[in-house]
Amino acid sequence: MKVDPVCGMEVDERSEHRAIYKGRIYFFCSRECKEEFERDPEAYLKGGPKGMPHK
Amino acid sequence: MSEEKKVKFRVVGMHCATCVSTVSKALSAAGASQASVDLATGNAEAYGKIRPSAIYLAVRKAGYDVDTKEVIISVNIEPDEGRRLENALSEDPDVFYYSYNPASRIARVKVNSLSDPDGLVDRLRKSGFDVKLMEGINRSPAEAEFRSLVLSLVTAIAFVPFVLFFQYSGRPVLAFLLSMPIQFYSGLRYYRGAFMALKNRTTNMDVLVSLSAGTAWAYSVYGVFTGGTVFFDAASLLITFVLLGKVIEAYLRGKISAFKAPRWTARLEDGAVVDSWSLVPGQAIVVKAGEVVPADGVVIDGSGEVDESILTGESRPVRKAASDPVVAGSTLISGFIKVHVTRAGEDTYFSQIAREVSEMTVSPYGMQRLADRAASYFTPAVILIALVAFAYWARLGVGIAILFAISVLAAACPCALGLATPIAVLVKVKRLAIKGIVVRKGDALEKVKDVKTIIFDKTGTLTTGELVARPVFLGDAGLLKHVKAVESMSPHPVARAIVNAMPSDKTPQVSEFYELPGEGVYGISEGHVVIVGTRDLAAKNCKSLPEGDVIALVDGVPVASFIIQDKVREGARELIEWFKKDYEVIIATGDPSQFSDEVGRELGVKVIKGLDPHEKAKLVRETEKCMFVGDGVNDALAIKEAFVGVSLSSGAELTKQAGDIVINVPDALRTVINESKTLEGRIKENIAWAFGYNAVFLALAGGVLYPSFILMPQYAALAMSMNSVVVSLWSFIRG
Repeated sequence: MKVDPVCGMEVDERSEHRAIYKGRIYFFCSRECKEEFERDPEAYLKGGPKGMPHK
Repeated sequence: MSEEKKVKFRVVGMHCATCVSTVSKALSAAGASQASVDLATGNAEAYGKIRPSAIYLAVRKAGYDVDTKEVIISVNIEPDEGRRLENALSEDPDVFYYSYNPASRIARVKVNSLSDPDGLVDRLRKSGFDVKLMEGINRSPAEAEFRSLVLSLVTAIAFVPFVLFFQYSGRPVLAFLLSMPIQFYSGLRYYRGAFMALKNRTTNMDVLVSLSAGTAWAYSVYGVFTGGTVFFDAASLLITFVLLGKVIEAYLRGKISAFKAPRWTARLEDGAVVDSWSLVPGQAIVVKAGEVVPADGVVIDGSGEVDESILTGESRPVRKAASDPVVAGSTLISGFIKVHVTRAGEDTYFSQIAREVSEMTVSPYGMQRLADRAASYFTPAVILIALVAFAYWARLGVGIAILFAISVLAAACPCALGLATPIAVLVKVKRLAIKGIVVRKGDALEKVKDVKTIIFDKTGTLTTGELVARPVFLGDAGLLKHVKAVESMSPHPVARAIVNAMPSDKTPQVSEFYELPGEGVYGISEGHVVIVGTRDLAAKNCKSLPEGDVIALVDGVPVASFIIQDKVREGARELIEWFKKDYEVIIATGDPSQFSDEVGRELGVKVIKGLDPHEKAKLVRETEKCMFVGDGVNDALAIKEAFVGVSLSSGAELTKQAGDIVINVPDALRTVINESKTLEGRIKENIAWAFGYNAVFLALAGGVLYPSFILMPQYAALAMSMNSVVVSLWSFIRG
């Protein structure tokens, strides 16, 4: 299992919500998390998960 | 025009509050002063000066559907009344949509499901149309008519020898009795046709046939009782010969076939597999990679890449996720989607276009329009000549005078005039068919010679439609095998193109592999991190990027870049050069990439790129006398709008049908143009023949050579039906 870097949830690798950043692949629980991650990847990679993004 | 009023109907396919506002907005935009839509029941009301057809269009355009009942109506009308029928249908308060096929005389009407179809039938009857509501058509009406014609002809042929025998052996009463089935069974259709025509204050061929055969027969009956002359032979043979001509005509008409969207298998949520035509709006279906989307709908879950080339003509897949619309006939290439069905079976976009294009019409064009106008004066003129002949020969006795009048009526027929163009076209169409070129609309072939501008679609028409990757290799060539190894894990067309463009090294094992739909792939090959994808994806993983549509990174360093493009078809350049001599040539394409400009430069023509189907159609509409050549369903609209629409048969099955003319290779267009140029001469010859022939036999029948030659009515009728045969033969000989 992988960890969604945005919300901190455990995610299956079969999740279709994926992103590649600086040569590493990340998995997300939802499209929202992926989009949030791509908006500012560094914030999540350095600061850790911040919970589900709110729209 | 419609007054301020209310239309109640039911909307299908809505599943959320947003749907309600979408539909309401669409209705207002279409001209409703007020609209109310209820989500739970789907019931809707639109107020204002809005026609049902506008409501139907607006709701469907918004992605939903109006609940309708399809009613199939057979209409017994003359070909030139089609316009009047279409007007009546488009003005009807219950008709949401209709299509009328003049060849089969069948109208398919979608009426409001809240209304009674009988109401429509009543209104049409009141407007003077002889309509019949059909309960599903097992046998096509054209086929039924053909059978009935053949039966009439066979009956006539069976009785004719007896009529002739009894009349010539001096037994007029037996001839009278045996001529009755011919007159009143075989000939009934002409009497009925004449009655309908006269009721509508027009005249047609039926009037001439009825008048000549009816007068001959009635006068003969009078002769039987008064011991005068009888010509049951003339009356009977006349009908037989005319029927013979009709049978041939009906046979040709029966050749017109319909086209339907295919049936696909659909998978329901619970795994059950059903026929795509049995789906109903509101159902949820699942589509796996490699499967065809079986219905129109909205993605409610999952995501994937869809090949919509059937719709767009472009083979590059489009990424679809929740709330994106999908259309039946497209293919899911990767991923997995759950779709909320909004339209299924014959209501899908695919089916709709299929049905529209299957309603083949042959519109009179050029010379034929002139001949048709002449033909409308023809019948009254002939009746006048018959009356003059009768008055002139009355001094020889009523019997002789009537014979002359009947001969005149029988000798003249507008048929050959009407046949002049179709038969010439038919001969050309056959010649083209042997070369693999299919002409779906006869008048289109005539129009080709008048074309001024040729607009080509790019993908699949001037290019092969197969993607090719043009690589630039950078850095360490030893790392390329890892790129190839990772890319060969993906079934994506772009990935396949890239694999084909790579050196043929042996590829190592890939230990990890992930696809990012719409972005690219990630994999680990012998410990190297390989990323191949769009510029956007590459930019997140590497600072300085090379040029290219697709970039390959190994351990964060670009090792290759690719420009993805199509291949220009072989011979396309020569073909375009040939066209440029006589026509303005434009390329119109949906592809917004640089490659479109490159193709334009390579072929030396103007390129208009990034057009969606509607923009293409608009361009075509605004270009005078333009021929559009394309493939793919996205071109169907443009092909339909064009002065002459040509499609390539290698394209999607549907579009193949959308073309007025379907060619197998682009080069075949030259043959089409050449044949069209010789066609006009043939048509003129035929019309001259038909006119001349009619004139000569009218004169003979009127008695100009009397007393040295008299044209008896039956031989006048034979000559009349031979006119068509002569015109046909002449066409075949000239080719």
